[in-house]
Amino acid sequence: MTQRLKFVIAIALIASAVGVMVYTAVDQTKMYMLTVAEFLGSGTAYSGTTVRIAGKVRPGSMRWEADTRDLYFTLDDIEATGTLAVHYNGILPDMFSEGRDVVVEGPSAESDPFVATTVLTSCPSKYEPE
Amino acid sequence: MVIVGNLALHLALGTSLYAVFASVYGAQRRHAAFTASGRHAAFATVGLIAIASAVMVHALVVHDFSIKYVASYSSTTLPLRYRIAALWGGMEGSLLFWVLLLASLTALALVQNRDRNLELMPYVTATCMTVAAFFVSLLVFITPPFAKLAFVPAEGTDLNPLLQNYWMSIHPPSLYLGYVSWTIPFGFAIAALATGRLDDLWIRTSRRWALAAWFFLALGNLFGARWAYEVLGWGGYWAWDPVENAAFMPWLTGTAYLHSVMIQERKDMLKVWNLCLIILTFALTIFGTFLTRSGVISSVHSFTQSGLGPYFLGFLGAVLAVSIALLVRRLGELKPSHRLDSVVSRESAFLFNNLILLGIAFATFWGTVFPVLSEWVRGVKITVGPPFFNQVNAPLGIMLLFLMGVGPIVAWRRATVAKLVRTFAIPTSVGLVAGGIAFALGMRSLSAVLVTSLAAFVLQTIAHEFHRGARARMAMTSDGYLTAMLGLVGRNRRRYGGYVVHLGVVFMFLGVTMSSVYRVEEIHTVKPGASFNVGDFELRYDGVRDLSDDHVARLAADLTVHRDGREIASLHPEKRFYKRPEQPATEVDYRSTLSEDLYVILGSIGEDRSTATFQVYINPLVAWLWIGGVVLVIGTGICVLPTRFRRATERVEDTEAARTRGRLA
Repeated sequence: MTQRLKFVIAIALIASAVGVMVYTAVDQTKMYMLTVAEFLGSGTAYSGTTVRIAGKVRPGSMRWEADTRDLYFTLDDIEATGTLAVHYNGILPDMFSEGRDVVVEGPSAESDPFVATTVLTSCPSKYEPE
Repeated sequence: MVIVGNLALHLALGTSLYAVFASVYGAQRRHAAFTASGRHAAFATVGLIAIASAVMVHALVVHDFSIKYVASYSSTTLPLRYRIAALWGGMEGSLLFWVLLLASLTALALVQNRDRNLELMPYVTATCMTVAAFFVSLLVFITPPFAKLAFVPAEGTDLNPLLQNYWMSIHPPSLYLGYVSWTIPFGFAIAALATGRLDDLWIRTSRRWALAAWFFLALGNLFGARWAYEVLGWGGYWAWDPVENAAFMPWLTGTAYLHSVMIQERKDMLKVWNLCLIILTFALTIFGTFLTRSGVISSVHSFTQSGLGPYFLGFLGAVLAVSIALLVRRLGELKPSHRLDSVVSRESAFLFNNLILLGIAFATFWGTVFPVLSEWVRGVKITVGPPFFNQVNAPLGIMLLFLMGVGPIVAWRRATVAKLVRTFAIPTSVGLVAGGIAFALGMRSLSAVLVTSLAAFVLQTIAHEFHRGARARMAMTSDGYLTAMLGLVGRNRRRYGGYVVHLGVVFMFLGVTMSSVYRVEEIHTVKPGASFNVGDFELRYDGVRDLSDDHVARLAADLTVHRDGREIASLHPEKRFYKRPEQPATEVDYRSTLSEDLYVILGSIGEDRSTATFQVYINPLVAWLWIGGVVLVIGTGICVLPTRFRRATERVEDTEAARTRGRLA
């Protein structure tokens, strides 16, 4: 085997290893980004994967139990075409409050309420000049 | 004053465009008066940008709230140092600061080469001034920094409180310096392509620039990581946020470049590859500014969102098109004078190191742009988080660590089996023993054991390189061991400085791996006076204190930490709520030692303050990430800075040293 061929093989091996790793990692860690309405209308399309659902925290729906660190709230679709009850256990995010846009992340399962493993809050829009 | 600033910007657009035209015209027609005029126009651009920046800083300092930017990013109560730092606190100011750095660095390169590389310099001027003209035109036409408000407010919206700490004074400037400095080596590469001086002159001349760019990018990322760790308070230092990735990618390709140019200088190979790498690195710096300022991908750094995205993409496309066209035109002249002899050789170790670095850069790029791509291609928005990046980049990083041990000691050209055995027997044994000890001590994570083992392997090779060099020098000069070692480093600063950088990187590998794999995270809700255990630590919650003042409502929790029955620390994490602008913030507290950090976040305070919730992390060996950073700084310093002590220790002037100096110059 010529040296040149060896190099071609070695380089192809590294490149395809990177490709395969990227492909499988995307497949294993991907999260679908949905709105509340999309999630509600999806049926079982996303079951078994992780989803991120964007919505607005309905005013008056938030219940925080400090001793057990349980957070319950209702997530309204941005276009007001659906609602989702959410349960989260953990540290209450700094920016979390009623009326704010948030994203909840968790496994897509037939659970009610939706169990969020993470609640992401966006920064106050004040700091985003248009 | 505003009119002065605006005028300066408009004039700078003119001078930078003129500099491009005059330099290229002068070089093409061999008209020295025009190239000189182009150079002078570049200097004029620096002066004009400096004036515009000075006007902005002055406005910030004297609270000229008639300027929208000043009213948006400062206030009368903002301390002076943050008013100055507000220059890069918002988008328009940060672009202005960007051009200021670019123009100043260009001027520095021009002064440095005023009577050298006369053939290349006009094109360097032209390239840098093209980039400057692009940024200045954004400031003139799209996001004018001196835009006025219709009504002058009595008080400004303040700088984001999260930005009000000393990291704000050092993290953005180092990162920007890192980004901007790549323009200079890129300029030299374009000059080489334009003139046909395709030997390694452009690389040698711009070597220090590339090193400086790489260094500031590393420093900027480390400062950012440290800032996140100390201030943002989520227990970590790197989140694979798009903006972090944006700064990480050019650093990776830049690292590849710094390694592969050694092969070109030594072997006259990989010429096309090096040109591709520098073009890619520069393109990634522009892509990084696009990511940070377009708002295409959501990020924690989103305060700089704007509609600039299309302009950056257009510019990026133009940069790539012109660079690739120039490169293709010269392909025929870029034939290497050597070929790679063997897959097992130092040349190929460098080549594989390059491929892995590019692999990490590609994976990072793919994960960063994936949400946008998936939406385009398939209409569904799919995103990937930190698990994706860790899953792909951890094995690639481990391979890189392995090559870091192999590269410096494997033979050039072709390594025979006998030679391999001789060279690698000891380091491999050291690595295996270290891995075995780690396993025996209870380490069960494959990546932790592998990193420990490979770290020992690399450390042995580095130590051996120093030792071997010092012994050889002792034999030659009759110096003592330490003097010989210093002389060795002074004589081959690039090589041994590089090893010191490797040492720092090994420390960082250890810190990152162990703090990721063996991190402990627990949440506890307790009443005042109660204790809880996390790992070996016993934390007692003593109570909460109200430290509020006019600007900020503050609640601080007092914790006393015991280990093995001894009191070892008291920690005071806080919950804050800033009043103007209204914004909550978390102030973490931690106890850092060489073996681990105990890191406490005050999650929330219950009603009536009857309970408090703490999120506690134990991050093993995380201090070594920062120590590694300091070692990296020292190593780069050895590579770059001129040393004086060499003359004192030097007795024999040999050709090797003369040649090294020739290369370094």
